[in-house]
Formats: sequence, C-alpha cells, structure tokens
Amino acid sequence: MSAIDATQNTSLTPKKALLILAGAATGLCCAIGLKYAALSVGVSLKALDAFDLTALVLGFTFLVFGVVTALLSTSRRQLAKQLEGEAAELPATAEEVRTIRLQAAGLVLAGVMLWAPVFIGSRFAHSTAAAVGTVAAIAVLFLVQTVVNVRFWRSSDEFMRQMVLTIGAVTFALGQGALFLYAVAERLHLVRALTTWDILVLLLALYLVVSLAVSIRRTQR
Amino acid sequence: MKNKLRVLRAERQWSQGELSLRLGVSRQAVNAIETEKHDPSLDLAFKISRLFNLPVEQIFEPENRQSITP
Repeated sequence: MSAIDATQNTSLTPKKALLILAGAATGLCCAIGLKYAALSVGVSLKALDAFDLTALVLGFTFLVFGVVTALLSTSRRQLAKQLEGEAAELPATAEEVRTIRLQAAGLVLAGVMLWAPVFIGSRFAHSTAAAVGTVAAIAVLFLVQTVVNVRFWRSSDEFMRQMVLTIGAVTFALGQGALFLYAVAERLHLVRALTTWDILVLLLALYLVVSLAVSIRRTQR
Repeated sequence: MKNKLRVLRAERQWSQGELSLRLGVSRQAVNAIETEKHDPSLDLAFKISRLFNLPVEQIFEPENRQSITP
C-alpha cells in the first residue's frame, strides 16, 4: 500500500488523460527495458512461466512505486500537494517525509526480493552455491524490510494503521477463499498443483490490487 | 459517522495540513474524517473536541440516531 495514493475525483481531465498516456508509454518502455535487462544477464523472458513473469511485473511495479515515492519525498512542497491536494499551504513535515521514505524503502526492497529469485534461478539454474547465496541474501533483505515495516507502523497514525489492517484482512479473506476452492479442485485432480512460489506470487498480486483499491477509496477527496 | 470538521476548519481558515499538525495526525487522516471515510478513535475525537472547544456530540453525529434507553 502507498500513502501517496491515487486520489480525488474520477472525471477525466486533459491533464489526467496526458498522465495516462505518459504512464502507458512509460510502461511500454519499461517492458522493453525489462526484456533486454533480462537478456543482458542471460535470461530469456520467453523461458519463464506465467508466475515468474507475474513476479517480475509485480517486482517492477513495487520498484517503480518505491522510486517515484522516494523522488517525491525530495521536495517537501510537492509531497504536501500529493498528500493534501493543490490546496496544500504548508510543506510536508519532517515526520511526513520520514514516513514516506520508509514506505519507499519497503517497496524497493519488495521489488528486489521478487526479482532476485527469478533472475538468479534462471541464470544459475544448476548452481547450488548461487541458490544458497541468493536465499541468504534475500533473508537479510527480508530482515531489513521487516525493520522498515515496523518503523513505518510505529510512525503511522490511526488512519494509516486502520488502512494497513483493512488491506491485510481483505487480502486474507479473498486469498484464503480462492486458495480453498483451488485446493479442493487440486485434490480432485481437476487442476495442476501449485508451488509455494506460485501461491506467493498470486497472494502478492492480490495484495497489490487490494491495497490500491482500499487506498483509492479511503483517500478520495 | 457524519461530522462538521470541514466546516469548523473552514471557519478558522486552517488548511488540512495545519489541522493535522494541531491534532498530531496525517493530512490523509484529516481528509478521511472530513469525507466521512474514517471514524476517528475516541482519543482523537476528544482531541478534536478540545481543539474546537465544542462537545463531541456537536461535531460528530451517528448515521443512525436511534434512541438508547439506559
């Protein structure tokens, strides 16, 4: 979930249309960039299955959100406008900047942790040393992200905490419902078995969608 | 829950940022309360009450005002 949420009214203004077009163009450029970035480390996107590709897209989304959020936090005036709208008079406080940067750090780490297993797993598929090293590195990153998340929670007010709890509750309810139905179908040999990686990727995709939906609803002006 | 926070803030010509500083919460929290997407905790409701020097029930009103007999 981001504190810098998509906001305000839903009417399509020329500015919003331009932003959508710019977003689409950026997305296309990034997709092409991702393809060649993968090729440069010896990984062909064609060789990846749907879950690995989803993990890369999710990781990319987290990275972009994280970097954009971090860039916004460099201007206190701009950040205040993102948080309050054009009517913002006061620049963002040091506390607001700190909270946003913690959020950005969490997102960037999430992106890296989703990308690494796919890239390393594909590039060094037969290297146990690479696999062990990657798991160890990701465990350290996970620990760092946990500290970042705890600090974010501590610096959040009751509204942000309620939003985080709502996102968690909705994701759990939908995720466990879908998982239950799939497990039943799998038990009856109607669908193929999923790996824990597949389930994790689906859960994170669901988390992203739910967090966007909840934050848009709660922060509309 | 309905509330008069936006009106009270406008009367004092405070921005959401200014009110959030006075209450010690985020601007998003102030906006969410004003747009009735977030019901504040009792603690925050009393802070708002003290800040505007008004009883809580003059600022907040439940959607469904059923009479409750003790």
